[in-house]
Amino acid sequence: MEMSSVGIPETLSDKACIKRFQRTREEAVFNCLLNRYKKYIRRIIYAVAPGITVEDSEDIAQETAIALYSALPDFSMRSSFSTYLYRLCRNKTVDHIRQKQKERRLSRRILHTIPAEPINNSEIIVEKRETMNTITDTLSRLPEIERTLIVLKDVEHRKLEEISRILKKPVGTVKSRLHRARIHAAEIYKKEKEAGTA
Amino acid sequence: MKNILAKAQEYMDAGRKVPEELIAQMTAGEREILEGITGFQADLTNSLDTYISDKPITFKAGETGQDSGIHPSKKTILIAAALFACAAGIPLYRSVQTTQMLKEETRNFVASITAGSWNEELLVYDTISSDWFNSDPLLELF
Repeated sequence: MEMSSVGIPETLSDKACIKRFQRTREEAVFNCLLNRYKKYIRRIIYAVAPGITVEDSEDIAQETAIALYSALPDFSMRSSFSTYLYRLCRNKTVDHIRQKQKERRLSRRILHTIPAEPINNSEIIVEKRETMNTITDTLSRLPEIERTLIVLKDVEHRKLEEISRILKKPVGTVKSRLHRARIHAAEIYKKEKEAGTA
Repeated sequence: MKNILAKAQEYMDAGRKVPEELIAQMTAGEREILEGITGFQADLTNSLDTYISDKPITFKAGETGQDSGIHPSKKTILIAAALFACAAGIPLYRSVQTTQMLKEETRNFVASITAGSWNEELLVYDTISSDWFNSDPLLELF
C-alpha cells in the first residue's frame, strides 16, 4: 500500500481521514488531509485576493490550517469537505485582508499588483510571467464572486451543483453568473493584453 | 431562444468541446468572445500552475498553543459532572442533616434548662454550699 510521507495510507479517503482525526487527533492524519488540499487552499486565496504577496498567502494558508485544526473535530460531514474548507479559507482570507487594511500595511495597490516574487521559485520565462501579470490584473478587476466562480469551475473543475453548495446560490444562478463572468473576464483580458502590447 | 454563447458555455460546463456546428452558427463577434473565453481559461490554468506553490503546508498543533492534547468526549464530561455533583452533594446533605440534629439537641437542651430543673439544682447547690461552709474544717478550727 502506498503511504504518504507521514505514514498515512494514500488510499484513505477524506471522510476516513476526518473520522480518524476526530477520534485520535493525530497530527499526521491532519497534515495528510491538509496537504491533499494545499493547492485548493492556495487557489481560493488567489481567487479571493489575486496578486496577494507570497508572505500573506502563506500566512493565510497557516491561519486556515490552524482554524481547520480547531474546527474539524466538530465537522458533522453534512456538507462536503471541500465546501467546508472553501468557506473557512475564504473567511480567513477576507479576515486577513481586513486586518492588513486596518493596520494600513496593505494598501489597495498591493491587492492589485503582482507579487514581486512568484510563490513557486522556479525560473519562469518573461513571456509566461507577463501572461501571469495580465491574468492577475484581469482577475483583480472582476468582482470576487466572478473570480471565485471562474477558479472553482475552470481551474478546479468543480461541478455546478458543488459550486452552488459552496456559494449557497441556486444552480441556475451559478450557471448564469458563471457565463457572464467568463465573458466579462475575456473582455477585460483582451483589453489588458492590448494595453500591455501597446 | 437560448443565447448561442450560453449554449456553447454549457458544453464547457460539462467539460466537453464546443461543437463545430454551433461555432459555425455564431457571428464574428460571438466567435471572438468564445475564443477570448477559451484563451483566458488556458492562460489562467497555466499561470496558476506556475504561480501556485506545491510545497506542503506544515502545521504543528503545539505551536498554536491551543491544544492541550486532552480531548474528553461530551459523554465523559457529563459523567464527570454527575460524579462531581454527587461528591459535592453528599457532604452538603450530611451538613444539612447535622445542622438539623444540632438544632434539635439545642432545642431539647434549652427546653430542659428552662423547665426549672436548673433552678432546682441551684437550690440544692445552695443548700449544699451552706452545708459545706457550715461544715468547713478550717472554720471549725477557729
